[in-house]
Amino acid sequence: MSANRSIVTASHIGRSFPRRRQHNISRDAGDILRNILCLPAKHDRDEEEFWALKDVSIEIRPGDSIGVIGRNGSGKTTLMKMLSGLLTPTRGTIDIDGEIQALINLGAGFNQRLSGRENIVNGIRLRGMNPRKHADLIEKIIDFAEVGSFIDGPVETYSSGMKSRLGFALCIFLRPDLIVIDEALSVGDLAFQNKCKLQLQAMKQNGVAMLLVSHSMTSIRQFCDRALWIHNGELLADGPVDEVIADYLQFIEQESLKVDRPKLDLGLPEPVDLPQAEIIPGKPWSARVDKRWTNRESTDTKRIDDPDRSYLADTPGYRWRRPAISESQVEELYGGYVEPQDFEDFRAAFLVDGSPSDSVMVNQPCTIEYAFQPKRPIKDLNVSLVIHTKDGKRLSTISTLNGDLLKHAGSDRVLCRVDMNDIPFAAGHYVVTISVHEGSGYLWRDVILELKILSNRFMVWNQISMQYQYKVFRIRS
Amino acid sequence: MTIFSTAKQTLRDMHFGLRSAPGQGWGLAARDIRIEYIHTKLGLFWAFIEPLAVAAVFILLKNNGSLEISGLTMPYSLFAVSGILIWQTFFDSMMMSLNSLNRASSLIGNYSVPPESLILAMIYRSLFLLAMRLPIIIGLALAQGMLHWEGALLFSLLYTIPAVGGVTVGIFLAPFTLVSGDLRLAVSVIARPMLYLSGAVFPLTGRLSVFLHWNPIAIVIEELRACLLSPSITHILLLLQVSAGIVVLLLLSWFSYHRTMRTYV
Repeated sequence: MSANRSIVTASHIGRSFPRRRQHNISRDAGDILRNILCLPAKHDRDEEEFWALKDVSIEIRPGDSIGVIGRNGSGKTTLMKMLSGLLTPTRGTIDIDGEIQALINLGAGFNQRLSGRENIVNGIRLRGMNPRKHADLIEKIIDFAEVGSFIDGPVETYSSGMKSRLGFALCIFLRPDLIVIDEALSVGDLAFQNKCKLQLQAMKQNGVAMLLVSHSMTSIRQFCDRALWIHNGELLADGPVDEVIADYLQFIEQESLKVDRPKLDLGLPEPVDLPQAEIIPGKPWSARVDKRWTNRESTDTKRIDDPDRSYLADTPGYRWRRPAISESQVEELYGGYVEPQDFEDFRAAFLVDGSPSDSVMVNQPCTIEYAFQPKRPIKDLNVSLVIHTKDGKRLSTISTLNGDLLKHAGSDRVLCRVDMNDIPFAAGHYVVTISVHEGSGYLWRDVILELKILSNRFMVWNQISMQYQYKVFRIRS
Repeated sequence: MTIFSTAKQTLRDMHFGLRSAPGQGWGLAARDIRIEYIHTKLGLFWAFIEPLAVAAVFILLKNNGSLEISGLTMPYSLFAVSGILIWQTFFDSMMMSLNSLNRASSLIGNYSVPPESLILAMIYRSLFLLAMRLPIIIGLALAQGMLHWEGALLFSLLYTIPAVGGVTVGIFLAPFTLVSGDLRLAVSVIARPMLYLSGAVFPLTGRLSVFLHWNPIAIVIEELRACLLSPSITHILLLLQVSAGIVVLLLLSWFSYHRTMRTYV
């Protein structure tokens, strides 16, 4: 398919639903008759209609990856259904030229009484393909869905996860020109989700256009180059993903400030009115700082000479050793384990005062460095470092997604250094995990460092030890 | 958009929908038939049992002498079984199509299936019903020594008229079942007693013979029965009128079904 050709061209589309649906009577015969006779809808009915989408125009070409964002009930799913050909517009036109697969309500189209295999065969037939000629495709779908021996049992005996996995596998293996994904990336467990994401990433690289609806801005940024922001059925923005997301998040923040929060009655005593002091003319009140105090240690730390140099680059003999934490522990405590693929020669170092260390003081500056060599060009690479407590509480994530630092790394060797002004966690045992992503699929997920944070001379009562400066004023008249 | 441009666009979409309809329609029909008999041990044999039971009852009544109606050109059991099964094919096809938009809502909501595939699936299913009932009628005619082979061939061909006619009436009314469930119930309640005014069970004589000219299904039943005895059509013009009416109604129904399906379901 030519890249200049549009898969979907939607012009000024709108979709209304009758409010009367709530009363079991959806339409009157007049509405249906007018529609059959190609007559326009009565305008005086507009007040009885709910317009889920109004005057939206979009063009989707091969290779486009578009995120759709917006609050609940903004019209995203209606738009998806219309662009997939599942709903016709009440106003406007949609031209579709290509095969579209919609991942909406995964598994909802399955017949519960038929087996998984029979539903796959039906699904293939419904897409105009001959199942006999695509026996290999059926086997690929079964393998991908990981439903095992259940495949020949009726779908009504499947768990909801199995149905979703089967639905997902069926959709993505049918070689569409456009794939429409409506919040369907959270299907199955982490390993399956990762498999799906990598598959979608491969499809994207092969020129399959994608339309992704998600409330996860991370997913949208990982997958998409362009974003649409739908609000109250209207297209508020259509542009580069970073700009649209920034505008949307700003809008959400402003909206949340508008919400009137009820006053909580905590039973606290009312403030006591102090007797007013007499102000003597020419002798104003004054204040001076009496004491200063900070929880930051005054350290004359030995920093490496040039903060733009890399310890790993300068020390080829340094050997990184994976912490002795089993894969099943990683799976259970730190969000999941994914075997490394498509890169080699990984090294990581935790540096304090410019030297490798396994411990650091609370609020002391420190550095993490890592390096690896991709075995093939990796598009949309990003790496996240996550700091967890040893017992699995996720504390902080540092990702190259902010700034798209590694997006265009390709097949070059990756060497990164993360300088932290302080490590603001209470004393204890911590681990650092790494997630290497291609798009939103994982190429690796594992623990890379284990460290101890040691107490300094200040007490820390909770998990986080923020740096602060306390000032107490002495007031005199 | 003007009325004409909307209609033109719909006709283009209908033409486009036809491209994938044969394969998809076959898949949908095969799936629905399979689902109907999936939890049965006898499977497809049940499709034979229903017409077989009808035939058995009338043979029993005839042998018992309970039913003797004079002036018939064929034994009453053959008269009644052929009439009832033709009428039943029409009725079943009509009800199946009438309910199609409601029954397929999950499918329509999740797959990009053109309306043409659903219509074709209903025609395939009604032909399946026909295929299950035809051997019973032919077998009964053969058993009673009334069968004329060329006539049987013509009968088989013309038997498609009530099957496709039932689908046509069903899809014509189907869009209006979306207004409320009343229409479905009304059609079912009104159509059932019409069995007795279609010449299926009793010959239409006296004042009732007016139905032989005005009730299309009565015309079809009468002509089909005549085919069993000789390879000729007695009222060819009347049957052609009915067939032409069905074709015209099918085209109109197809248009209205297409416009309704993705707009309201």
